[in-house]
Amino acid sequence: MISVEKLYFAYPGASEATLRDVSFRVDAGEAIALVGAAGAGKSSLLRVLAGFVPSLVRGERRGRLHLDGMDPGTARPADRVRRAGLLFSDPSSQLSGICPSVREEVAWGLGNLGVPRQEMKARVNGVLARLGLEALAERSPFTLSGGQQQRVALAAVLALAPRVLLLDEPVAMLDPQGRHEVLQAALDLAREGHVVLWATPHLEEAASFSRWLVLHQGTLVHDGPAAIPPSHGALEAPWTRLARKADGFGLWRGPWPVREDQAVEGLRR
Amino acid sequence: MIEIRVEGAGFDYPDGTCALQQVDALIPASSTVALAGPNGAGKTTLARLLNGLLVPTRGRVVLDGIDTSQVPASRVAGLVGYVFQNPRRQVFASTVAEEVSFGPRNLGRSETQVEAAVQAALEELDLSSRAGCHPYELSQSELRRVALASVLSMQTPVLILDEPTASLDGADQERLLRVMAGLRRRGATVLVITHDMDFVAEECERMLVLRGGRVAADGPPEVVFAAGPGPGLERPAVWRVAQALDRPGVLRSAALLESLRPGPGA
Repeated sequence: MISVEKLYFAYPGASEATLRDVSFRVDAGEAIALVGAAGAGKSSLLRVLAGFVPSLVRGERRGRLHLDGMDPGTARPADRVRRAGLLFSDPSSQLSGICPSVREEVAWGLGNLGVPRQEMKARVNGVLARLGLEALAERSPFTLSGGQQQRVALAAVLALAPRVLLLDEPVAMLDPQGRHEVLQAALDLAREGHVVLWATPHLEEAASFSRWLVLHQGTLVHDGPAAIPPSHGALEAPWTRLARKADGFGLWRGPWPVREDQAVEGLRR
Repeated sequence: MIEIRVEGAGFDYPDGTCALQQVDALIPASSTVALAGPNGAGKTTLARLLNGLLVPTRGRVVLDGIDTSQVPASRVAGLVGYVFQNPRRQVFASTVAEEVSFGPRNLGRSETQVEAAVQAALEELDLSSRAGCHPYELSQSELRRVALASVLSMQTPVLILDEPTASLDGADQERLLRVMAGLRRRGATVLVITHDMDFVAEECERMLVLRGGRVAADGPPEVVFAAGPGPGLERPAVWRVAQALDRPGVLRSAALLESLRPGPGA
């Protein structure tokens, strides 16, 4: 579904490349955590995959990129949005800012694609139900909390039913229950055949994904099961901090934990 | 040293949506207090009432004896610094140094005072070498630090930090802890809006939990977490790890590790 080969990307005027020599492949139905600290290149990679380069974001891109049979960088916008949907990390820059209700906000993109009214209605209702937004459907997006806006922005992306979902820190503003619900919805979508790429600096979230792509300063340093490469000390979770402190006390042996139960095991020894 | 009293304060948007029902709370002078709660509970609305960005539609907010609805917003802004979650919302000047000097200059401090405050804030956040840069040349981490530095430089007696630990890597986490320690030393009153319960457990002496626009819990983290933080919230990871290691109720990593150290007889 996605194939990336020796991808290079630099923003205009930047002295250093944001992405260097990034290669990976993704099959339909895969849910993958794109893990990295702030500034690792996660958002830039998602923008390139969504085809925002070079039409919306300028910069120099090299290397091969195929997504559902096309190069999103040169595809027509209408073809692009049906294949790849990008959720921005900041919902307020994604919402249209002109729709008076959540329902209309979620329908907005479908209107632009010329989807017939009956189908539009069904899709909007389906997405609102999937994300638990029915109770907010008639509210103005302006009066919603940050976390609620983040869910509405995701609903607007899902309504377009793109085959590849590029989610940039999709639950950063949600409470734990909301985080769990959105994570389950994303894993369900993968089981239905979508590709989900979930970018996050938080190992707590990444722990739910069996495959990790770890970015560090623009290069892919790990592609495989959940693991923190030894060179990569910047990734954080409460239990990695605990393990590091334990190390200072002489109470830690072995690799850094990537899940909470590994921290428990490590401290039991 | 400023105490904040919230007396039956609530807020409705002009379209009638109620963002905050009614909140009574006392935030003692020089304390570090967490403001937690599920999405839509009213956390950001309450924080905006505290710094005068919004005026309550009922009840009142009293800062150091001043009713915020009775004085100009600029007076309140000089007392309460607000660090937004999204630095792009906050940063607008053309160099880092200008950005960080805007606040104190706006508050009418002398140029000597402004310069000293800016230098101290930049140094505290490892930004001294970036003073002449345009904010767009900065990494996301540096941008967040500039947003924090530009509030620190105002040296307000009260600070509100909105989700300060979201997206932080290890080095930034260390810097934030350094800043928190500095604020405690100078007696600032700090309110932290956060979903990060481990941060609450380690850094805050009190937590206020909002739910449905009302106060659902108010007390030291030990007490609130012992009772269970309620729907939409979870206990700190350290609490769960401690539970699994037969150290029930332990919230802080230092206390947990201390209890795991082999005793003299072991």
